[in-house]
Amino acid sequence: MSESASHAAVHASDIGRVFQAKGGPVTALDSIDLRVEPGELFGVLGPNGAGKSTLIKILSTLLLPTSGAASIFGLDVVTETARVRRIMNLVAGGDFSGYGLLTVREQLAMFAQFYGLPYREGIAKVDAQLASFGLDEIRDRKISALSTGQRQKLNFARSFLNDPWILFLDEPTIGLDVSAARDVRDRVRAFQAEQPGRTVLLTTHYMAEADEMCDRIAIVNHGRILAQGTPTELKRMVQKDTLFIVGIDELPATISMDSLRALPGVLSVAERDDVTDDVSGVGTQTVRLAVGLREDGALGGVISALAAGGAHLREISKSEPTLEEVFVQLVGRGISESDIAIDGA
Amino acid sequence: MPINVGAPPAVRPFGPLRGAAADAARSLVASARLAWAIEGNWAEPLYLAAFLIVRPLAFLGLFLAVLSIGGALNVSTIGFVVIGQAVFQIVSAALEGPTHALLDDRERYRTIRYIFATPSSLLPVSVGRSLVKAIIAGFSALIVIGAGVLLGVPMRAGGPDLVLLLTVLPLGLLSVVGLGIVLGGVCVQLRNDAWAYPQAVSSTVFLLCGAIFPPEVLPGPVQSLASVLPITWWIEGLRRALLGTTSPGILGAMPTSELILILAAGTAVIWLFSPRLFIAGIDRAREKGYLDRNTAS
Amino acid sequence: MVHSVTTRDPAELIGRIHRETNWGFGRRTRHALASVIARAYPRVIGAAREPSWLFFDLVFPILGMCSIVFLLRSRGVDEAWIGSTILATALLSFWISVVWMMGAQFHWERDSGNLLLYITAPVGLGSIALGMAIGGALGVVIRAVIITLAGVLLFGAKYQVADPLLLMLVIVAGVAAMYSLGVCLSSVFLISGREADHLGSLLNEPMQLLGGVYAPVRSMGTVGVVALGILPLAPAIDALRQVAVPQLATTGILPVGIELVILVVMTIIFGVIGRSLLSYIERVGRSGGRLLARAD
Ligand SMILES: Nc1ncnc2c1ncn2[C@@H]1O[C@H](COP(=O)(O)OP(=O)(O)O)[C@@H](O)[C@H]1O
Ligand SMILES: [Mg+2]
Repeated sequence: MSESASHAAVHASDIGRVFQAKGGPVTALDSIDLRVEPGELFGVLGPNGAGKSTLIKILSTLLLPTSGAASIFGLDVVTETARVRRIMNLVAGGDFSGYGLLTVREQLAMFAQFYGLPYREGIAKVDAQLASFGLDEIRDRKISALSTGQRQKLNFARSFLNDPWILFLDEPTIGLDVSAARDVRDRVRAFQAEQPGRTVLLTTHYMAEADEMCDRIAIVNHGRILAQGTPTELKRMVQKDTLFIVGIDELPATISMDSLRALPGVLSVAERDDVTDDVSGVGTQTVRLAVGLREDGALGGVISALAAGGAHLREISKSEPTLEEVFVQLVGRGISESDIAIDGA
Repeated sequence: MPINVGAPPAVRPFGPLRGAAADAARSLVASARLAWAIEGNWAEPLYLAAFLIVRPLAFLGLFLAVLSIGGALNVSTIGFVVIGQAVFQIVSAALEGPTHALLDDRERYRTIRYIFATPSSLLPVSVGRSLVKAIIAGFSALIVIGAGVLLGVPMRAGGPDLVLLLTVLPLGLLSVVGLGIVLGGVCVQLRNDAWAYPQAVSSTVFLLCGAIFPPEVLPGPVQSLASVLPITWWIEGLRRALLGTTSPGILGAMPTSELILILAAGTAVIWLFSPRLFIAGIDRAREKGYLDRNTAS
Repeated sequence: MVHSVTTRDPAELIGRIHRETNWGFGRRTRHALASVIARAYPRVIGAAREPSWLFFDLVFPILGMCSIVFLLRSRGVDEAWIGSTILATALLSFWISVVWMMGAQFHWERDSGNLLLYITAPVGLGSIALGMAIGGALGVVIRAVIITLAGVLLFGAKYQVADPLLLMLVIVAGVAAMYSLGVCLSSVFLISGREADHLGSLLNEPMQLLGGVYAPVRSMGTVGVVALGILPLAPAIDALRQVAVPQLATTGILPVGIELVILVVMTIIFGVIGRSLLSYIERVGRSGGRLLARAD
């Protein structure tokens, strides 16, 4: 193993996984190369069936690859499984495990033992996690009496017990309401901030989650990585030019769209159809123009032309392409559309 | 398991039983179909082997082995146990069926809320599913009787007494199905472990009804319970119809005509009350919000 | 937003992680023992937490016991057999717990998502299974005692135990052999891929017959002798009958000493097989992708 590989938090080279299913072999992963640095929060984004869970299972020692090799902090996931398991933890969304008759606290204490914590230290960790997840009040409640959100928080609390150097999260916020999902994301970030080097590998099919949380993202489909980079890098891939949204009260009669398009440095001008009622209640509307420019400096000419025509400026914003657009361009369709295609299959 | 039950019947407001007879008959047929589909896993080989063949036969073997501690068995003792054990397969299926059907619907298929909106429409569904379960259990009963024949139990010369059989069989079936739906109405109101109660009841009935030993060995006060249970006389009636012999003791002392009379009266009494108890039970369960809850944890 | 990639020397971090993951023999042993206890805990506490479970765990065996007792009475056999029936019912409750709470357990753990957490934790499946067994056996003790008391009260059975130590030995060895077999069953249930309910049912009533629980295996002929060699229930019950009900000593098929040896050998052999089955399911699960996690 090369020096640089052994310093990565996750290093996967040419990983493939073929399942023998009833209808013949299914290729879930097809040559994945991945490198996650210590301390990163790395996202794997893809539609249902893309191979996200398969990748997590291989990296978390639950599944063997059928080709290729992977290591976690230099420990091989196939041959050094025992050691890998001592520094990792895993949360799979929608899995509500445990024993219904145990209390929240007992359940966590049991897992603390499984993770190899000395008894007292384990109990202290359990109480600390209960406090930080706001589960203190229900610490003596039976698992069977918990709500979905509480169970998933419990699942997260469990996954932090052994202070894992690598935390695998497979669709961790699936089925959670907005506020519970936010709590959980905050806790994951806080967990990483506590100790430099803690690494998180997360899969999701929520664009916003990936965009908001991840340092870097790999977009996968059909078991292949289509692109990877920081969210900004990925977005830049689909749009090299800059796009501004210019909001005005109304388009002056003297100015045509074509005349705006003729201004130097302007590539495109289009009226956005998201005309909104004025919130101030005066009864006016905002007309939004999407202005594509060769470079930011060309905006000045557009603004002056509009002002000269008598338009009042309401807002200017630089429009970022969304990950959704990146995804559509790479995969050829929206992520939710592909979900439907899979479900209906 | 995808179950195609067709379009759900229109939601009917709460209403009395009568005036809905035609509806009830239709939904009885529909629910028997549904039941057949749901109970369809009986055709799965392991299920078939485990529940419908091996288990009843293992019990039969166990009882006969225990009896033979007291010395070699004669065929009439074996015959007594064989018929009791065979018929009891149907009894326990019918007693446990409606409760399991309701809980199944409630917890697994979630159809109670959506398809059958009123207690009175749940009744034919439960009866239908209970009947289907009883009929499938009839297969086990035949297996047990077949084993008895192999062990040398002489069946009635010239075939079963058809008149007696066709009188007793439907009456008894009705009575156990009726008792089963009462249990269903009671158990659906329970929060926990509702699954186990009907089984506890049927195990108790097993002790009382003279299935494998005559009621005489029971302690005095309990013995009289045995003689008011229609199931006791159902099993004894079927013994006479199939074996052509009467059992020893108080079971045998009952003339066949009186036996039929008791069975018929018992069945009538059961059906006088059981639909009402069932509907009242479902109503209460609905009020308590138990119909769409889930006991699984 | 890159958190702390640069605040730490990667080589230093890797070095630390490699030291942390290098557990010595002492630590591994302590961890295994602690895990056994941790897994046993919910089993022991369970009976007390859910009184309704305890209730049904008692009601069904007691009703079953009653039907056997009445069956015996209908034949007018020696009352000693009734004493034997009560003890057999008590011992049987261990076997029933082995079938459902050992055999079917990993099946359920898989479907509830626990198995996945066990596999990815540093704990071995062996510790989990051992904890399940010890906790399970301890949990059943109360049940067995209550069943015995109920039988004695209901039917007035009398026992003369000449050698209480031998009785304890027989019970402990019998229970150990049953749970040792249970470890094997837990893997077998998973591997079979069948419905746990159906398999469990096949191991319940038929084994009561084959194990000679209520009637000596002698009545089963050759099948009975084979059962004596592979089914822990058989020698355990046979020995129990001889030790606790002297009138029935003559019904014993083998001397108690030999049956004790059989039970100990069974415990060891099933334990060894169980261990290799556990590593087998982990191996096959990781390569096939089916066994350990729900296919979702
Ligand atoms: N155990 C398995 N056996 C057969 N096929 C599987 C198995 N696990 C996953 N697959 C298939 O592999 C592909 C990727 O699945 P998965 O990794 O679960 O996708 P994702 O998590 O991105 O939704 C899917 O086509 C899935 O059907
Ligand atoms: Mg997935």
